[in-house]
Amino acid sequence: MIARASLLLTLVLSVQSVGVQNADAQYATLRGRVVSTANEAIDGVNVVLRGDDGRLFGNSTQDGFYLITRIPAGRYALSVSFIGFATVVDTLTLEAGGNVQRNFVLEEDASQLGQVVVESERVESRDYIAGLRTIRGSDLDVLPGASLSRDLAGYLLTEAGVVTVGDRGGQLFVRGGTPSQNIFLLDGMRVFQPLHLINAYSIYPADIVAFADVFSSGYGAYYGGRTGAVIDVSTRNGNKERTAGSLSVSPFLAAGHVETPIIKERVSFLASVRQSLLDQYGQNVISRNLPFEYGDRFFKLHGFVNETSNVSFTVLRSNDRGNLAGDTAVSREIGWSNEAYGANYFYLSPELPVLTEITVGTTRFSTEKFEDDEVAQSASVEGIDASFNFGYLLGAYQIHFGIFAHTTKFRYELGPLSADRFRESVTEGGFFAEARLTPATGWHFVPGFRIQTFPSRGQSYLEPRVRFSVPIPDLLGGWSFSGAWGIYHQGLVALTDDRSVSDVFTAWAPSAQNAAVPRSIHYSLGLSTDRRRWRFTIEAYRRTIENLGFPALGEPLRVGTRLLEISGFSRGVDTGIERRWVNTYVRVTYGLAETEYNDGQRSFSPPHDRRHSLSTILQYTWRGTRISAQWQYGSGLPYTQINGLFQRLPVDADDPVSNAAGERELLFADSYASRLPAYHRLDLTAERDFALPAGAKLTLQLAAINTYDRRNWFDLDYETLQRLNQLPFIPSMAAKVSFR
Amino acid sequence: MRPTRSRLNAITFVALFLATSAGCDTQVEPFIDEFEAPVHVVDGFLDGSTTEQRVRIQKLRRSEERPLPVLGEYDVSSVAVGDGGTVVWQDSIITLDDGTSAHQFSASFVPQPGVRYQLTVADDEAQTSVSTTVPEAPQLSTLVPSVTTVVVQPVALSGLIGPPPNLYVSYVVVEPEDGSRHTIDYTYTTPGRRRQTAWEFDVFLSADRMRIGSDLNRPASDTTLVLESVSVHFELFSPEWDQLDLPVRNPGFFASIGSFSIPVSIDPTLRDILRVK
Repeated sequence: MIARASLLLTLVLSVQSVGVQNADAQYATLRGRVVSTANEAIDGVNVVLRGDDGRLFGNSTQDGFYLITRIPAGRYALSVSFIGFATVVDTLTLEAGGNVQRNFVLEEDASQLGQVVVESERVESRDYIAGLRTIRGSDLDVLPGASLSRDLAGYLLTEAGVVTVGDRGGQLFVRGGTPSQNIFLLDGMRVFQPLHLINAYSIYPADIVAFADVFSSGYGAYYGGRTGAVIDVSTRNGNKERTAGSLSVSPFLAAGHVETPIIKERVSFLASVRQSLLDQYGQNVISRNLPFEYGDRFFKLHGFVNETSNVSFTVLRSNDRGNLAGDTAVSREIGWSNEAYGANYFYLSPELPVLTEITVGTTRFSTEKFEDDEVAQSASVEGIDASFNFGYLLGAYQIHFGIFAHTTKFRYELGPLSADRFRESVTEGGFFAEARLTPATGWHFVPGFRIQTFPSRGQSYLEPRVRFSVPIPDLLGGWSFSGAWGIYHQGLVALTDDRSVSDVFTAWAPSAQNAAVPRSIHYSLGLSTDRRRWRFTIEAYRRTIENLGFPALGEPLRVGTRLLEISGFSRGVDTGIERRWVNTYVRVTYGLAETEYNDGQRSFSPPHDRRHSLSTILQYTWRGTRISAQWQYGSGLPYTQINGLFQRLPVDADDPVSNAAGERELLFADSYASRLPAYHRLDLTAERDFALPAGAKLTLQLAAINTYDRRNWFDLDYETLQRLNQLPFIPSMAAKVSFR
Repeated sequence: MRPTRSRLNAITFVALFLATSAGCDTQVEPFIDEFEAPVHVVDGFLDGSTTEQRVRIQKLRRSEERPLPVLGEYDVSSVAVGDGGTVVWQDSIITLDDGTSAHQFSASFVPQPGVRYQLTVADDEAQTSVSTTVPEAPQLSTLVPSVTTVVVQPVALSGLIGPPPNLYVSYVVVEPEDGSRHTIDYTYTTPGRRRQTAWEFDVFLSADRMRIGSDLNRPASDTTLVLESVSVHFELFSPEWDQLDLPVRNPGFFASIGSFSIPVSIDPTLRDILRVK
């Protein structure tokens, strides 16, 4: 099990702006926990000590723990602050060798909600460093989706560099990488297919998301096994003070979530259950065939063992079933499910600057492709994961390392022949080490390496990586320059039909023995700032692609499918700007990208090569009503034209020319040499809150998906030569009751 | 800072602009503007075991029209590359098992081993050529026979790494009483073995002798049967057959089969053991 890099990365650091000290005994240590009045841990709280010789900083973890080490003895002014909460100010005297524990309870401050407060003391922005974007649960509130159950997926789709090939299929392409190249984690548990059939929804509802670290590229040594991006989601722990929750209903999702203390102030339980109603809504209300069903269930039990350790248990289940061809006679019937169970133990030594995190879990993903309501192809992958991570927090210099082991069982049946059936178990393990160095305020240098081995297959890889961020003092407004570089291998490969965007059936398998595995090198350089009342990022990136298998055009997906060995690259520039006024919020992201594959014969653009992506979100609050608009534009995706149709005749050496009519087949023209029309869509929502007794709140929403009913292409069905469209105009209403 | 009226006007303008962009054409043309070669699809193979060769010809079509159209009129000819011999193939329209019709072309000749044949299809718009080389006959070597309780004659076919398809051994025997000649074939499914660059297998002379006597209703003690010749028959497929299960970019299938009959010389000393003249 891979633990949370962000947790470790942001756990704690202290930055000294004064001279170098020689012996730890000269210093004091300050540690503790920060919680809300609901006794819910607050992640990312700034703990600042101001002394005669300078300032020292710490950030709390997801569990509210903070630690500041190597504090010179003396008297300090202490402030504890976080957006939306009243700042706590105190004074503190620390003695050499002292080990002081201070816990804080922050009270919500409504005057700070609705505006961006950027702490000048905030030493480590978690928001954008070299391809890392940290998205908090509260960030998802601005999404104008047609559901009051917000979702991380909807937000991801507005990120520059994130591409989907349509509004369905659950496929997320990040910076030219395919979905199977991405790492998806939920509280450290591997999840193979987190997006639902409708891409704007996933197993990550906003009600459970504490924060998500999204590494578009150049991720550190903490993660491994894939060559693409990382989406690492940490969930909330739940309210330990009182019961809270919500119920909402919309055509896209009926959702409920509840969180309650089991043992007050110590143990909490969080549950989230969601199920789509789109199918019924389409048939019974708007007379449209919307054959999409999806849902997810999430449960978490979290408890503080003592002041410096906690344990959690997490359960996730999800289900999807539908026809990706939508409202047509074409069949693209697919279903999948995820199931994951995990446990996490976090321990921060009360005496030593050492943290330990142990994560274990199991995960299962199964998928079926249907033809005439019969299972035509099926596949599953099951994993048992364990990881042990340690961190030595030596002031501004930290060493993190860990070991991990995964056992993964693969199974798939792609056809009636025995050769089309596959079962195998693979064990992988390895080690990572990473130094997190903060030599001065705003400077971050994170070199590291990872060794990933597949003992049963005789494969092992050494992957050096580095990430850095430095401030640019000459530019006004706290800009920083960051970069990342790393080598990545992918030992597990996905057998999927990358040729067709509407065929998302995916069979996972270990890479071929004694064959070169997919490999990628990431480079990225960027500029960012969030020091002012707006946030701006721009980052250029390039990824090399080696040894990637790509099914030859025109061949059905089966064990013997001829795979073209692809090399190539993806490159581009991602940029985004965000601005918030009292009543207005604007977010614009733009991605310029190019992905090129070469099969040794020719170069071509794969079907997910979207050159231009633009996403705009505008939210305006007028007399208490939030009016939101989201407009997305994507330039046309590549597709392959047809040279002509012919009949493929059976060949029999005993019968030179039979009277068989043969099977209709296509002769394709050059692969992906043409492009579909551009995609664009406008979604509008208006919602308003109403106060209910006992502190409860009712929210009503009117929404319109694809407001101007643009007929956006999803795919061309080569079997029938029919076009498959994305979602039409869908009006909807939603209601939500929240209580706390 | 509160949004100004001019900012709100701009937002309204953008929203109206987007709303009016709904009517954009989103048509896509599935077919390429013009056919890329090859435009004719040839299905069939040259068979060295027969004098009549046949192929089916289609032309790429650009619609899902049903029933399938019988497209165009074609000139089909084949050339034996090297000796320049040209054969013009004759067209006929056949009825397929689904009731539709198709072009079938035929020609009378026996394809020769080792010769490359190029078949050309032409119509008013385009020309398509496909070719195949008929496999050459391998060398047959007769090895030292094994004489124990049974008599086995090993033979080796050079250049083969596996058993040839449709392998059988043919015996020509003459009955002394009336001089009637019989050709008796026995299919050999025994796999044999690979020996460096040759495929080696056994001709089971004594076992076949017993079967011949039985087939001709001759007593087991009979020693009068005359063994006129022994030969090995088999076929070899051209390399195109290896591609059969690999869907290739070009449609159609054009290949060849070489058919071979190679005599096996029998050591005279074995005839007594086999009880034949």
